[in-house]
Amino acid sequence: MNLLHVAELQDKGDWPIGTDSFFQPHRAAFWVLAALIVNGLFYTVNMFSMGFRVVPITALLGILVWAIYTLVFLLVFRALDLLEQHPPEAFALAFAWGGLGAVYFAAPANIAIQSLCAKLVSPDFVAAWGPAIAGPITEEFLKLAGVVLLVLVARNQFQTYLSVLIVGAMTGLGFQVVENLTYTVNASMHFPLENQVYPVLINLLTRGLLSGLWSHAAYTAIASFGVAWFLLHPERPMVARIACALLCFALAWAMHFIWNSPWLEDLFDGGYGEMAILLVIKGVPAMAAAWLFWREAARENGAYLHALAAYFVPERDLIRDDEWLRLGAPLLRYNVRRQIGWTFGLRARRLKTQLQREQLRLIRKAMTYGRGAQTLRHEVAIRRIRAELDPLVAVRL
Amino acid sequence: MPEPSRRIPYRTWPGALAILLAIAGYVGGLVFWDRHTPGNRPLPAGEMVEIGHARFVPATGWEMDVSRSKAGKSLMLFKGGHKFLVTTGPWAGGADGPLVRQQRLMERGQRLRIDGDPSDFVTTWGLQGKTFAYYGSKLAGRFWQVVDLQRRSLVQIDFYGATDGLNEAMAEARSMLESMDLEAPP
Repeated sequence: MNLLHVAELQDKGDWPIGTDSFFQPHRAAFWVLAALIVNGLFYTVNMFSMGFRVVPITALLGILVWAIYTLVFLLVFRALDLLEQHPPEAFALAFAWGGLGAVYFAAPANIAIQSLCAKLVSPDFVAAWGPAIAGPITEEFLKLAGVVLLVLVARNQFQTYLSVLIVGAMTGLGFQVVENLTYTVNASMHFPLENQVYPVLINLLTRGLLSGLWSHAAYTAIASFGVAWFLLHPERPMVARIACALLCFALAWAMHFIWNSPWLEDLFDGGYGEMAILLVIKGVPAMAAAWLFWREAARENGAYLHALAAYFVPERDLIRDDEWLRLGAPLLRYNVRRQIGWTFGLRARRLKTQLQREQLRLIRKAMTYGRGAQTLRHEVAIRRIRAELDPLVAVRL
Repeated sequence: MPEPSRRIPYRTWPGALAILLAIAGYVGGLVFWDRHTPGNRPLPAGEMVEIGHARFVPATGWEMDVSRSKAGKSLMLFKGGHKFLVTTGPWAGGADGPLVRQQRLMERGQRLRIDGDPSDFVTTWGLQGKTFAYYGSKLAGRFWQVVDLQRRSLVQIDFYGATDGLNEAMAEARSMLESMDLEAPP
């Protein structure tokens, strides 16, 4: 008798309360995910060992620069409380899948597509259209495969669109960072000057600053929305769910395709100024699309939090009215923290940040286990932080 | 009324297997298709081919490998197990810089050994530059580099292949180099 059948027979209420962790050694999806990440790790280490031997300064500086770049993204995610959606291991797995698992498979597939285009059409065609044809289909498919595997590993961790989108964005970020590092090292090995620092700076400018916001993290977030919709709407017909997932994937593919294509390049010369304009023109639609998906996900997440808070945390000393209103608005929460910081100092801002996060944790913990001893820690923390924060805010009023 | 989430068991192997098969099918299928699609393109006998500023006459029997040639940047010819790769690009300074980097790439990156020091060469057309020979456990080859200061362009020619039949192939590679000039229209 399989487990699903057992589940059907057994009353739902008999199963233990809680959410699954992302360490699931008894689930096949976990092992597939882990094995492919480890496989990618060996490939990536081997690849970079050559970079370290040939251009050691570039390799070291590149790792440092792209690590800082990753950190900046993480800080932005954290500032918007997006990292509260999952435990850290979920983000580590997503990042590792993007940077190791997906990159490992993307390399031979992209080479094969470009080689086939050269053989079946011409090398001239590949020079112009090869990246647009090979990159989007391969990379979007592989990154999304990791998102689906992660969802399979701990399905009940994904209760909102936002919880899937942030994992998608992290997968895309992992891919983006390792790809950028690879390009940096390769560029240095064939750089026309005997300088190992310039390639890092040039790649940071072009691939990181001018292209970073509308790159893989944005595409995978868009594609992940389809997965989220498929997952969270079991009441809809299967055809509609699949269509939505395919539509989002197609949109992510189209954005990536336009970005990699040579469209509009003839209108601009090779200078950095004009290149920046071109990149903005091609990148803004992707950024706008990603923003719309994030906004919808944030709106749904807000409604979800409000519903949970209204039921599980009715006490107004734990979540005051104004705080309750801002639960689903990460930007508003961030603005309040900033305003408090400007007006009442850094300590007040830090306390306000802690307070907001504890409130989110309390709601999530209550949703997972119900109110009781397990949520007491967060209730105590909220009251303690408020006791510290209120005098600070009141003193200056 | 919201209910706390429950840890209901479910199977993941059908989904995980489907993803694994999809990845293997996609990547493996593309690699298989590519390997079984011929990439050779015969070149017209006695006619010049151009890559960047460089142009030369391919020796008889050498064919173009279209999958390893990049339009305007590199041209890969092959005959049996021997390859003749011409790469062109901008030169940004330091006449010997690119040569030093190539040596470093070969020695540290590809684990090849450089045979002696680079020496000067001049072709009958007046093309001049530096060259060195190299070898590894399974292959040997020679590298030529020409820097055109006027056009600020760099041309690198890399001939390599299995040691079996290397001398005959090397003679043909030299004949291709001898026929080379940098007068191709931009």
